[in-house]
Amino acid sequence: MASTNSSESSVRIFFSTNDPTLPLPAECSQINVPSDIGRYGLSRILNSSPMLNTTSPVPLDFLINGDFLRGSLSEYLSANGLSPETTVEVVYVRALVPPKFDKSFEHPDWVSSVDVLSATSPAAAWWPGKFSGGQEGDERVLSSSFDSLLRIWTPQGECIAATPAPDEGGHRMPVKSAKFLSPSRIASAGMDRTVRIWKYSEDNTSGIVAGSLKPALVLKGHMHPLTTLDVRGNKSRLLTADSGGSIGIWTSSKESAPAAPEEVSSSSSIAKRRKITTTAVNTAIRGPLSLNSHHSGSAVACFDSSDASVGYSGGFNDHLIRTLDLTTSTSVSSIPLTAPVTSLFSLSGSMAPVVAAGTASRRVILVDPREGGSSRTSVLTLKGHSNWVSGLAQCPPSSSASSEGSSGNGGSDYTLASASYDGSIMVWDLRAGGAQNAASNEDAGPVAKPVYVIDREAYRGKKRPLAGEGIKVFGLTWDEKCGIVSGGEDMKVQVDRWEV
Amino acid sequence: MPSYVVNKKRKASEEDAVAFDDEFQNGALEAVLSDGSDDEEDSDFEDFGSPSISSLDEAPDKGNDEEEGKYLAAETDDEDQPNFRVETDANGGVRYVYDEIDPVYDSDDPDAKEATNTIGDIPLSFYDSYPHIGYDINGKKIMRPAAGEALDALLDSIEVPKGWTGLTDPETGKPLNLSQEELQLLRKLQTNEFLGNGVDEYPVSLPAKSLVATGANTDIVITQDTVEWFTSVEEKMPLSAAPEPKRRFIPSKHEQKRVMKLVKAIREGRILPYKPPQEKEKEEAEKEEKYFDIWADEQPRDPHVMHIPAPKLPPPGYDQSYNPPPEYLPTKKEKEAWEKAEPEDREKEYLPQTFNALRKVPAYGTLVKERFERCLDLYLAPRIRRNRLNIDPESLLPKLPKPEDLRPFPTLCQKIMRGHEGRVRSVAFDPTGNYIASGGEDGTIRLWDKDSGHELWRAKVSSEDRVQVVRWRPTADTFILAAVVGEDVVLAVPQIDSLSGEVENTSREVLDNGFGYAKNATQLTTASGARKDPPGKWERPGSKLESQGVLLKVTVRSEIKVLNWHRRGDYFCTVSPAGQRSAIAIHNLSKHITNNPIKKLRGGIPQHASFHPTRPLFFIAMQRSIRSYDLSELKLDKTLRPGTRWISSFDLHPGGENLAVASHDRRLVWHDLEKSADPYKTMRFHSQSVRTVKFHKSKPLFADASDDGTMVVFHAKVVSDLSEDAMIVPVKTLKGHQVIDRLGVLDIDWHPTEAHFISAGADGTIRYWG
Repeated sequence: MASTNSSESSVRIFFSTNDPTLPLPAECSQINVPSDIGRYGLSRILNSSPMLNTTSPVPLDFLINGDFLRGSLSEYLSANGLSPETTVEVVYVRALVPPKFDKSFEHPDWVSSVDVLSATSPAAAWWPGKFSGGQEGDERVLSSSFDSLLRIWTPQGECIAATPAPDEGGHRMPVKSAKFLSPSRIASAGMDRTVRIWKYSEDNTSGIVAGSLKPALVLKGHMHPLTTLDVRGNKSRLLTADSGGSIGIWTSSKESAPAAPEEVSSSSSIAKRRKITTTAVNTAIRGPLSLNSHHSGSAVACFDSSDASVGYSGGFNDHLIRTLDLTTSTSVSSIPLTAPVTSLFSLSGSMAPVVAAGTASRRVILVDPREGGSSRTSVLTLKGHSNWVSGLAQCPPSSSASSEGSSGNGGSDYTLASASYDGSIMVWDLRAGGAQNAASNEDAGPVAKPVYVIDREAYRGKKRPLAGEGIKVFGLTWDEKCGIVSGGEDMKVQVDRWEV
Repeated sequence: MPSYVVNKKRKASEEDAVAFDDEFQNGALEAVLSDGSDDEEDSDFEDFGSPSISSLDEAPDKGNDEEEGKYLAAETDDEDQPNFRVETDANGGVRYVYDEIDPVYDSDDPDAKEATNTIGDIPLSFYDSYPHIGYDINGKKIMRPAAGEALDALLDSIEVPKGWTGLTDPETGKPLNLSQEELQLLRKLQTNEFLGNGVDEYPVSLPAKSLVATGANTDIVITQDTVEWFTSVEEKMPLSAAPEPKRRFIPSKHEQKRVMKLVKAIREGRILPYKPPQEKEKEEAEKEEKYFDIWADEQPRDPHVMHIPAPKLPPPGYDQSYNPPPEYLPTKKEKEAWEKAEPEDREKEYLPQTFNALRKVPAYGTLVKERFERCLDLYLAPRIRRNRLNIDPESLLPKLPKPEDLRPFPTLCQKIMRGHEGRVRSVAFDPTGNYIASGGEDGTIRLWDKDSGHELWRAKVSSEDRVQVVRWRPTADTFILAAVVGEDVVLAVPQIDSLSGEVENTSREVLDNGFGYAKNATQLTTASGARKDPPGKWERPGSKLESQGVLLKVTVRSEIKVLNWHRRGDYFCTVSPAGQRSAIAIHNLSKHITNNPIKKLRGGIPQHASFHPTRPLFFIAMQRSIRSYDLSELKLDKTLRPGTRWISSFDLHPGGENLAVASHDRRLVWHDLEKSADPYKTMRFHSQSVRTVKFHKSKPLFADASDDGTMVVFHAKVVSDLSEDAMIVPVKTLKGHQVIDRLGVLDIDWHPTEAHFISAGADGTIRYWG
């Protein structure tokens, strides 16, 4: 690396990173660069031989004081009023590369949620060895729809299994959420107040993949339509929230689950009909481990990323995020927000205890639940959506991340994707939260802007319709193998993935 | 002078007229004068026998004299003869026959001239060829007087008649003769005497003897007795024989005293010696020319309070330089315009000019004028201190907080729910806020998921009538939706599986409980004993609808437009504007009874009705007024006058002390119920009629919806303290609904807890604003 001391305007920069896969030799961390250099130039310098010496170039992005470098270095310095004689501290990170549209799976009705079963998905990780398929094309996509059915899709876009119709033991109302418990078990929560466990089996004998979804268990107890479902397959635990503010904790094992509470049977004709159907398909009915009301209105809930005995719940009407001790089913602490909470996600990895909350005020607010109490502990506010934030997903902790650039997306623990009713999925880098983006009084903490936006395929490059009409995204999952999978009001599951 | 005149008079009267010739140097006229006077007097004396001063006034014309004589003669005849004759008439009676009166069309006015020529101001020569010289007042020809023959003229010239002038009267054509009086007047004019008639300002003082002797001759002059204040006769002998007194021969002591006084004063210098007058004049002149400064002793004073110093002249600018930069020089066009303009209209009083050297600058022509005007300005220009209103217009606006500080309030359309064919008439959030119910002109009631906007349930309640209103029973333990279809109110428990059996059973019970009461109720009968139709008929709507969850139907007599629940959910009221006596109905759900509590409605057609949120009050909006009735005592409580022409709807603040009124004349009116029957505030934000207004149940928000397709969200802070007024701040205008057939937004409803609301549009959409 030739030093550019002779250049009339050069800036001394100091490289650092918190990515252990990209170590820089200590003697190379301080260099002089021409001041008109941009992101691409810096990336090329770092990829060159005395520096990182990468086999294939790794696209890098550069953070200066919490801001991504866009434009040239001198522009940044003049815009921020910095002297070119100071040493600029530059943090280099893998550049986030937007995925490419891969496929979309057509549904007869809106898609409410999606989940992925792959070698890298949590369900496979919980049951190591149970997921047989490690090859390309063995991934499965689970989608739940407002037509009250669950469907299993191959990555090629074939629907290989679906749950039975409402009258034959299926959900009687739109399914709001569905998740893989294990490669052979699926949990789903619907507006009919039930959580259902399905047994999924695949038959690959005839060369054509065919699957079947059989009801295994019906969990009853909620008095209001369910909104979210979170699972910890290895612990057989389910966490549900309903629109009445109740948080339910369930077990998926038929044996250990308590009996269902005696439901007040309706005297109406519909109740009679229901009785008939339930007798027709004889499915075991179980009750909750605990079911407590923690919120005054509609609620959402999720498990803590690491500890299955801790959960978080957010309220729509009371704007609270509660930390729940799931063993005793009590609220440990609560954090007030300014807006209704519409989705909740517990971050894992480096960001571990932080909870991201999508709100109806069009922002994603990251709070640290540890300090608890009544003091508000906002970490970051992500501002960019124009409608309710309906789903959140973190970039998966890639097992192959150490082998440089294999995933190709450049994502890390600091990368978060959010889906919104405005029809877009925005990807954020949580390290970028410049102080100069400082926020209006409404947004506590620094504010970040999205790194890139994934639109619905039908509206790519077009103006999104008002109020996200027809393109609302309801469900979002980020998988190492399958990429970003989302489903929404356009009745499609959209898969955006990175080329391997 | 008097004595001189006296002498003249005496001479004139005593001697001949020849003496006048000498005096007046005008022989002819003087001769006329003296002769005329004599002659006239003679004739007068002949006629009347006695000299009279007044007779002199009479006209001296010859013809006049003749006519006068004739009249006099006539008069003397009439005096002794009666002017009638006595005749016998046909009956033999006596009859007086009077003489014909000869009306003489002559003026009685002695001043009026007779026989004047009426030809006007034209030369008489025009008539030279005619025998007449014009016409008199009666239109008769005035004949030319016989033109004197040469001999006559000669004779005339020799024998000058009295008052002859040798001139011809232009009016009569006769020789102009002056009367005695006129001559006297002329004489007076010549001698500069007083012209007053018959007054002699120089009375002659004569001894009585001489007066008598000369009386006849000087008669023309009115003599006055001269008062002889001092005698003019020197006495030859002294009146007294006393010797001269001694004092006439000795010096006067008194005089000496006075002289000595003067001497003393002169000596003392009190009286200065005599100075020659020339010197004195000089001195006076010198004194006058002595100048002195009248303001020499003037002390500087503070200016008067009202004193305003003249403004300073602005310093000269670049354009007043003798060689200004070229950009200050006027272009040819500007120069022309400046020269053309009136001096008063010019913007600048000078035209910038350029000279390449200061020595070439000519004298400034208007210097004196300019200085003079400046002096006038300093000295005479009246100045007033104008108190300019230095008010920032911003400060006049009411101090309202910024909308940003009043968050949260709805700002964006977040969901659009389509599905209704035709207009959506009404929307409502269920008491938990998780569902949205809507009713439209396609006759369906629909239920939507609040979170996703997915349709969950629908029931077609009518194939021809539209669903006018949908309203949830306001308690969370039940799930009962009331909808208005035509004349019916249908009550439904939507059949969805998300409803827990407990809630469903409670809801069904609430709806069905009343059937028992209705069976036991006594049938209403009229006075004649015939069955009377109850104001409301409660029944099942039919099995098809029942399977969908529509469980009850209440039919009233005419089409319903408004439905509102009581807060406990046991009663609901309906308004059928065309219903007359049964327009306002209160329905008891637990007993299935319908009442028309208020039969007599004044003020037109009822528009809206609502229960008070906390007290047993019932509000009815007529076209122009809102009345509140006390339901416990069944009497009128209050009447509000919002001042609008046509109320469309109103809503009570959940606190119960305020009320917002929407009106078809585009206004939104806020009433404080505690204070006055008149509005607290009238607002106009819409260009079309305001359809509805709704308060948020817990947040200080309310919103209205208008036919112009917009909704305005207000922040309304209501304090229970009576001394503080409600603070109303419009925070957001929401646009989105399309206007179709001049209908925009038809209904709105707030989320029970969040600052979100939904709106029903004529464009067939339901929009969720948050």
